[in-house]
Amino acid sequence: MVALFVHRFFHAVRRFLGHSIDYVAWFATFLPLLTGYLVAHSPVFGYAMTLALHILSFELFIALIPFTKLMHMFTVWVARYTNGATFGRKGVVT
Amino acid sequence: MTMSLPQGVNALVNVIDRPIAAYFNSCVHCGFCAEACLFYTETGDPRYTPIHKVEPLRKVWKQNFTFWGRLLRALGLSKPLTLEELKEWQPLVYDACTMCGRCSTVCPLGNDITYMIRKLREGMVAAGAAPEDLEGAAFRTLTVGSPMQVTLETIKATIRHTEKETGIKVPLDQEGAEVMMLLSSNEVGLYPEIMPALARVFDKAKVSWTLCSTAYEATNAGIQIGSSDVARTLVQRIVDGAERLRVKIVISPECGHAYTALRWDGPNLIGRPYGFKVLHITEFLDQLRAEGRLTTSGKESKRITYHDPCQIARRGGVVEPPRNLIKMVADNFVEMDETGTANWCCGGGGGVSSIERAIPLRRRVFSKKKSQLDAINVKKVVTTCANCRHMIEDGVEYNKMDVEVVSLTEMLAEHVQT
Repeated sequence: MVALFVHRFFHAVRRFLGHSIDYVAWFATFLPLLTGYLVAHSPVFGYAMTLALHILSFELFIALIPFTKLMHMFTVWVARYTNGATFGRKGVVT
Repeated sequence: MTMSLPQGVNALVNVIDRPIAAYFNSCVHCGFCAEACLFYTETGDPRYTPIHKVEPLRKVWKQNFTFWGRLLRALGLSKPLTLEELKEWQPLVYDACTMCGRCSTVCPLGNDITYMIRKLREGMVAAGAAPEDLEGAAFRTLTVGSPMQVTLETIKATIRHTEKETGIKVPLDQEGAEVMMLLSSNEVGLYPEIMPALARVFDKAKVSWTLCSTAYEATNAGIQIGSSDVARTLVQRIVDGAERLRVKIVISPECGHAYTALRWDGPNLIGRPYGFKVLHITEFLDQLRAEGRLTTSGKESKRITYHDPCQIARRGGVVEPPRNLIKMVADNFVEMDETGTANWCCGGGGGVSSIERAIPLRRRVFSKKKSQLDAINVKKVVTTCANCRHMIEDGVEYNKMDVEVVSLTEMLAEHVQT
């Protein structure tokens, strides 16, 4: 994920396309991962507090879904279905 | 046709349907589509990333259909779309997109970006932000009957020349014929050899065919500029002609967007199914071949390749028929590295070839086709779209390459036993 982040930052096309909200989505995905690792391996703020942060960060992630590109988890199926159906009807195999 | 910014924005709001909303929501800005677009790969300019070309449409979607967009708009914090902005995007939406559909096939989220471009063009037309060259072409098709001023008189003259040259009768307005042949003005204007070729092939295969005086032009400038109204009128013209002559099959000529317009968009535009079948000329000829009605003699030994017109192969589904036909008359057929539904565009489709300002850009991106052709060292390219043919010929001449570009129908006609 970090690699993807760095790549987005340095690749001309991706940096050009990226909007601030994309970076919000990245942090919202990364935080539960980071706090989850801390809970399991080095609970720096004490176990309960770190776990609370982990749960909170994941709730933040869920809360942000409808307002960010995280929505693509759901809309991707509509998009793929539509495009696939259109191509399929024309007999195009890709 | 009146045009203004509010009408344009209104048109854009109206074209945002379920797929488009899903597409914008799904786009994760990964930039894969850039690598699929020859305007990006050949120039390296990120502005040519396909999804960036539809930015004005994204803005309208965001401001009208998303939480943040509506909130900001209600608070008066977002800038509405301006006519200047649309005009600024014109070179990206029209000059640098041939609607070849390559981006639509590589998008990991399945976004049909080509469809989005097509819809954005609807709004550009309504706002008066479409290129004048294309507006002219669309207007001429409505008034004269063809974007290149091919009138019925031109067709009649070509028929006379054909009959004189081949000794074969070319039927016009023959009621009850089995098939109605359409032509593209590019063919009639630039390659008059096409009509004698068709006459020879059809005569040999004993096809009952006809041309139609009220519907001879297949090119659909409405699809290219992005005006459903114009596109509908042109499709309706063909449907009326075909129904008047009571034909069973209408054949779309060697033209890319004509096929897309008539075969795939047509019934949706006029809102009902046709009473006849639509086939691309290569599909029809391949049927004749399979039935044993089309026989040829002699084979060419030159290294030959086939250029897939985007609208015929990737957006049309016709990949095998032209190859079957070429193999009838060629011994040394080779494929380019990326071909069939993965082919690279000639650089001039989707109306680009009608825009004078776009000539330097399309010649620059022709480098893609050039490198593909150079890699397999062919002397002859066959294609089934008069516009592709014209564009490849232009690129070949411009780059001083030793390659001949021919139409498949014409090549077959040379080998038809008479």
